[in-house]
Amino acid sequence: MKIAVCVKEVYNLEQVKIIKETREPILDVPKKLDDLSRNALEEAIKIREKLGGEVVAISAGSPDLKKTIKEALAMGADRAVIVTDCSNSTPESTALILSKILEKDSYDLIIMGDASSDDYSGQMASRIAEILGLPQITFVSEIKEVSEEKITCVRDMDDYLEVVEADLPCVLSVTNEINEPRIPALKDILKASKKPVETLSANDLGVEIPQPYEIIENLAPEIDRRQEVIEGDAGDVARKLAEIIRREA
Amino acid sequence: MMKALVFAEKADHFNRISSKLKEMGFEVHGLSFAEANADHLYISEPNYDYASITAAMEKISDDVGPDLVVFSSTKLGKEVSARFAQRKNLPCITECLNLEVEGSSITVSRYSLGGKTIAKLRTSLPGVIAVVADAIEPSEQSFQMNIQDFEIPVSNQIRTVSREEKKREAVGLREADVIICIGRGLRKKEDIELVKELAEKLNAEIGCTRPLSHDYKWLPEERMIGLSGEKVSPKLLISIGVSGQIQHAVGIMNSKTVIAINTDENAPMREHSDYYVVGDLYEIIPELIRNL
Amino acid sequence: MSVIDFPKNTVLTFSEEEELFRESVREFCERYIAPNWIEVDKRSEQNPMDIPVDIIKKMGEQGLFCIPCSEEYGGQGGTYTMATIAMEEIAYADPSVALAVYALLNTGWPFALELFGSEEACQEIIPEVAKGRAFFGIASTEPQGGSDVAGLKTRAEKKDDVYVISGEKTFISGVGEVQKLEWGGGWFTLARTGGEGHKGISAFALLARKNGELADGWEPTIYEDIGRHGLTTGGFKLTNFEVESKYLIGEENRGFYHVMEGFNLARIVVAAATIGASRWLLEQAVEWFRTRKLFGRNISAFQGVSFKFADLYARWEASRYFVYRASRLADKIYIEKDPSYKPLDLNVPVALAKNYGPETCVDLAEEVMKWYGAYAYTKEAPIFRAWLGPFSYVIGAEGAQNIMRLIIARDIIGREYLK
Repeated sequence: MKIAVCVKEVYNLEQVKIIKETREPILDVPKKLDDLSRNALEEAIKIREKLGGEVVAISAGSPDLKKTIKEALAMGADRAVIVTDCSNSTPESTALILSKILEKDSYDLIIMGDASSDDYSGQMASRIAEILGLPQITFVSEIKEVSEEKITCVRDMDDYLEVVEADLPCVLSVTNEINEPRIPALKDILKASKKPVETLSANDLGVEIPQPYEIIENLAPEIDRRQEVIEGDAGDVARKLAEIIRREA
Repeated sequence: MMKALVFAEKADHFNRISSKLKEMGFEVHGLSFAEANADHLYISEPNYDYASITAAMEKISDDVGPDLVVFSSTKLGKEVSARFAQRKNLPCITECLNLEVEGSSITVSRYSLGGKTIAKLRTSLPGVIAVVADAIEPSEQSFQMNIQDFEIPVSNQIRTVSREEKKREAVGLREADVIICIGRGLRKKEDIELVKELAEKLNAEIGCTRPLSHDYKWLPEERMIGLSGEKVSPKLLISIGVSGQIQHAVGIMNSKTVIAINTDENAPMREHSDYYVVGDLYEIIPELIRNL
Repeated sequence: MSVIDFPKNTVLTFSEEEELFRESVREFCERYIAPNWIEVDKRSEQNPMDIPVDIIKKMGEQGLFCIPCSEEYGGQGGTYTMATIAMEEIAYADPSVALAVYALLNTGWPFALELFGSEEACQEIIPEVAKGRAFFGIASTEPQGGSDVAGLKTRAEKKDDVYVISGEKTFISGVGEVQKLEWGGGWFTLARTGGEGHKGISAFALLARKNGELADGWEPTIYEDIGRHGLTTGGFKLTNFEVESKYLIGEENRGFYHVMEGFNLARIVVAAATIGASRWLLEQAVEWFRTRKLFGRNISAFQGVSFKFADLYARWEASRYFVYRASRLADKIYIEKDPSYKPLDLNVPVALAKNYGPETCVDLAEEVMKWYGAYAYTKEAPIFRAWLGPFSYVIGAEGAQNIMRLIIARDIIGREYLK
């Protein structure tokens, strides 16, 4: 079984702070592998543990990817192919680039997160499946069965749960409920630096990066709450609260 | 007149989106599974297969030649919007909160950086967007209402073995005047009874943060408030034992007044509160119930 | 989320692998240790034998023990700096330092065993310790005192292929753990095989329990400690306790020298644990400063508070330099085996780290308690746990503070000028 996992580097969002006066985000924070990418990797590794084969991590992003991709290798990907000259990528350009890489090999399964936790755009599985002409199973919360020929999954949709099957090759997107990703141990981290990483440029792949939209602004929403702190013993606090509730409700 | 083509699997979503587009001056074409407001509407049997809907939208789009194709930003809608956009080689923006048209370009807002910011993006038409239908205030518009039946082409890219509706309580979070929202500060499931008692006094709906609905499963998913759940706008929201992570906070931002009770003086929730009570919910709530 | 934006640093830097490892330990700790450390401390205070076996097992599965030991012995094949990073992070998640001290003992002493012990002993013990199924610490202190290692009284008599050991050890970490963990464990134990003084001492890998079975002649007691309850302290009497000669560590009568190297290694990670706990304390302080008002001002607007904080912050950063300077040096000596560095080169760097790290931590904890005021004196506030735990490492444990000062003075001024 040959599995490609499309992973994404994201800013460590917990560390992103907002400038109070301008409401601009400060993006001078380290990047990391996105949580949902880790769910996808975990699922791929589990399949490899069962059926054997290879897990290849594939990603397009900034030069920082050389470092962030190590997280995927430490988790258990066998090798990686990365494109490091598309910092300002969009779903459109990333799908084109990743598909170019995926076309070079014949993968049985292509797995990714159902979205990334920064932009939550959720287009990648559909776009890649369309470019490669493959079936897609999105929002997978459980893989019930997988063999060399066929896969059966539970999809967790807004209002319904659905069991679907598809022949391989196939594109999957997984939800964060599908598993708890493993945390790489020191031994895995030490091994990761010895695993092969192929670094490419969008140019190598012959992809011109489209810029289909313009970001006009990206600001934190205005939070304008009173933030009045109420302290004291439970009785006093409750009386004050009751008064506010009667006034506001 | 610019043309828009809409797909939404829920009539309510369809109507919100079509009224907005009409208000903006579009001629609205659409595909839906039930009667809905449009100038030209194709109605088909319900179908939840991405490949079939993509093929149907491709066919209608080729006939209509829309400037803008709009999907409801549900999971199905997002999935199809991206596949459709790729097929037509168009840009696509999902999870749009609102939209404005200016000449031949469209400007949309959507959350970015995991909800920390709202990005405003402009793209030229033709294009594809998926809109969070609940973020749109529906307006009264008049439509031509030319309706015809449509048969969605069948695809076998993937095979559905079974489909089961999620059991859902009818939850009135979106319409509620008062909401009590609980978080991980609650020690155990049984303690929800205490919250229910307060909710009854206030005629309030109960909502929760993601861990309570998705990890602990103390409350059904439809009571989850946040980026990936309900976005509410009550007159009063009482937040109990909620730390106030941004993914949750975006769900309560439109509340008029927010009261929070938290043991941690420095929880992020403080910033999102009008009144921030530092204290033990197990002492304060029984007292509060007595005072109401 | 980090409360403090720590200044950028181009001197104290870490490799990509080290950063990745720190991140993985942090994530493990956030998932399994930080949410539970207070509960562990409370539970084990009630009953010292209520040992967090499940967490120890998980830490073993994650590879947090025997970090610098070779993979052929079931170790992690890492460096001493990686061990240091792990201890800093574990203590940040559990600032009572119980779990960090568990982990550091089970890194420093198995590593010392690997340096000097027999192939057979390493093959038997290290894999079990690495998996979290056995404890392996240090037993040197005796009722008459701990700092005077050369004066110890426990005797080992060699009879054929066996050493028969009798005596008493006190204030020993892990006496409960060896009884409760799946496999068992023991200590890098010192006993007298020759004449008086430090040249008559040998070291043994003394296993009180192995494969789940207790050895004969081992009689334990458990103490009630005032802090870091998640780790047991106790003592044991040895009565004709038999140790096979394969468990002799290094050469007979060279035990003093071996244990001194072991102490140097263990002291680095003890200091690492205290800088981790200090980082937690610093964050507690800063969060408090950012919200607490007094007489209508921020409390850190009072320079009596903020200057004190600045001094303690400086001491913390200095401790951190000391700690990693020592760990990098240990890597040169023991991992890279660079011939231009000798074990004795560690003496001063290690003494600086062990002297400064724990004292800074305890002083910081005391100040944070004062800044918090009365609330800090209640058991609801967890700060006292980060005070009483690290306090153990100011009193003693792998060397008392004044011994560290003695080492610094002796090596810098010159041994002969201290007479």
